[in-house]
Amino acid sequence: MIWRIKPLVEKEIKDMLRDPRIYIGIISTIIILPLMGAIFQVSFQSSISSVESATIVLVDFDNTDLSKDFLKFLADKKLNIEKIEGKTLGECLEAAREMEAAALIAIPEGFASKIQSCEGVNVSIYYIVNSVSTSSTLTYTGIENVVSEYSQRLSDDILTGLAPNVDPEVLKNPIKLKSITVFKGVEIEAHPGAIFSSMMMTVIISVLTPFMLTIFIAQIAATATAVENEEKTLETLLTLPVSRFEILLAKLFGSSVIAILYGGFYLVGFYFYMRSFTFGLYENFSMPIPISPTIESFIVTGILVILSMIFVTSLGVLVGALSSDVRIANSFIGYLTMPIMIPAMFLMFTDIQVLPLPIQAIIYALPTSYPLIAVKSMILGELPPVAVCGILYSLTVTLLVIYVAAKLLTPEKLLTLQYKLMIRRKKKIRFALFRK
Amino acid sequence: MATLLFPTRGLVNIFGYDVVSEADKVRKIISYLPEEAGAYRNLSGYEYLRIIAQIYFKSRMDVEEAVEEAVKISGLGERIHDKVKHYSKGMKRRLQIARVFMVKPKLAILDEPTSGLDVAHALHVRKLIIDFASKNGVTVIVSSHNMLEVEHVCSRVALIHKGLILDIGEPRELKEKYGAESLEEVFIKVVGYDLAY
Repeated sequence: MIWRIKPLVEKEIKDMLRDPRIYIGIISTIIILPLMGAIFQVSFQSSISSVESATIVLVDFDNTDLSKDFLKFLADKKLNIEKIEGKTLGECLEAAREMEAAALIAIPEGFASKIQSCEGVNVSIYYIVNSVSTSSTLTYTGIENVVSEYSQRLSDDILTGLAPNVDPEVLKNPIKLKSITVFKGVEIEAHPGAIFSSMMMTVIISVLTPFMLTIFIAQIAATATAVENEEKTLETLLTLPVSRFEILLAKLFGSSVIAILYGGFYLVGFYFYMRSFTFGLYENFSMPIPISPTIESFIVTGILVILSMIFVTSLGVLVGALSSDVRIANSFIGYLTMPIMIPAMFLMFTDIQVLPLPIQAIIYALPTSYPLIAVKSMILGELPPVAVCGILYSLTVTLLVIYVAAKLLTPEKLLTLQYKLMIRRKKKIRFALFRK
Repeated sequence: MATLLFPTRGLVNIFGYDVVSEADKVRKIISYLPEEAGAYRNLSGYEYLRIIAQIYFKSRMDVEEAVEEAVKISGLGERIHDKVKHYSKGMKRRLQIARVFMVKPKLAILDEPTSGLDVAHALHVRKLIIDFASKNGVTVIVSSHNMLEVEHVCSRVALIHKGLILDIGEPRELKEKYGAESLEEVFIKVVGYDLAY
């Protein structure tokens, strides 16, 4: 049997890998994802540099040593400060607009005296908005942060004056918070939010990879089978001395090889994308979590991934066999990916147990959900019973789909079904035209 | 006969094997050329032949021998290493004929083997069929609407109309029986003019 499947698998892989509809999809992931990251990085970096280059106009109605110190502080922060003189605020604003400044900071009269008498003072910042973009937001936030920093410094000075022997930080925050998270019985010196942020990246990547593989493998299998219809090779294939099951198996192996290749390319592309996205801060996200996946969870996840791949391949073959060309097959697969995509989204961002019961039922009904559940649990060092039960359930559903797919690989049935689908499509088009 | 469709009624036996219940055995001894047979466009003609040969033959030597034979039958020369997508319709048909014959079937079923081909390619294909059948003693069933082709290629003809065999015999016998000069005339005399069909 194996000697007959080998050439069929070889045919599948060679034919698919040389098909531009497939190899362009694979290559583009390794180009597009890092490119997207690079675009984001360039825009973000230019936004940061725009903070430094932005002109900030300052008007000092107080003209005291303290207001001059404030001005010096701003200048020391490498902000492009332009001091202007004006009688009224309106005049100053007009001048700032003409100078195309990003903001106007107005130091009011009595600035120093009010601070010294601990009354508090209002310093107004007029943000001059000319365009709506991320870079402008960063500029405005940058200005505000620098002013807040000076305010903190003043606060420290006042507190030191009032209580010279006390650390101003203690006066401002007498209670110091120390977060210790007990995670799966292990103490980690960090806030749960920080741990979740750190793990979120791992969870997203771990769930996203099998999910992307699932979608892609379904597309590959459907395309590979629809091509047989489109290129009129299926008829010949079905008269060769190979069983329907062997044909299905060859499609499964062939599609899996391509999907794994795609998965590899996707991971590399995604890695570079995330690197660009986090500006080399990626390491900061990966807080060491002292929990490692168990060998059992690895095995269960592996089995579930394989079963899910077989399931979607059989589904893809079914869709492809029923489609007279690749275009139709891809449209069908587009509809099919929705029920796979929605559970993946839920699993990425939430815990399945907190979801409403009908959504839980839908997620559990799909064999494609189980690898995602398993992989998420695997990261947490767990092996939930539902994942183990999922093996049996996925196996049953997968065998059923394989049986249907193998049964359907009979030209007579295919032709009848294709004909029925074609008639239905034509009716729909006619109905749509009639309604117009 | 090619194990693709179920018979509406009756039985079909090929060398003693039933085409429905023993389809697997039938597929091992037949080779079928559909009317619109395609080859995998991203493979070369050589790769395609090799893959098919590997399905039929277990030993490497048999595979090599079959592919070598097929390359000769196709007459594609060095173009056999080009991808199928670069082939003309005639070249694709020659490749398919080579594929059918290289596996040395007991029965070859050719559906409209020269349909849509230019004169040169059609002539080449007809010659291939005659030579292969006579040299190897293989039964070849040719299904065709081209009566001139049938008369030229076939030693025995069954006239089928609306799914029924109306007469069967050697071309010469049939012509004598119906007092016709060609098989086209025989066919018209047997089925009558029925352009509505």
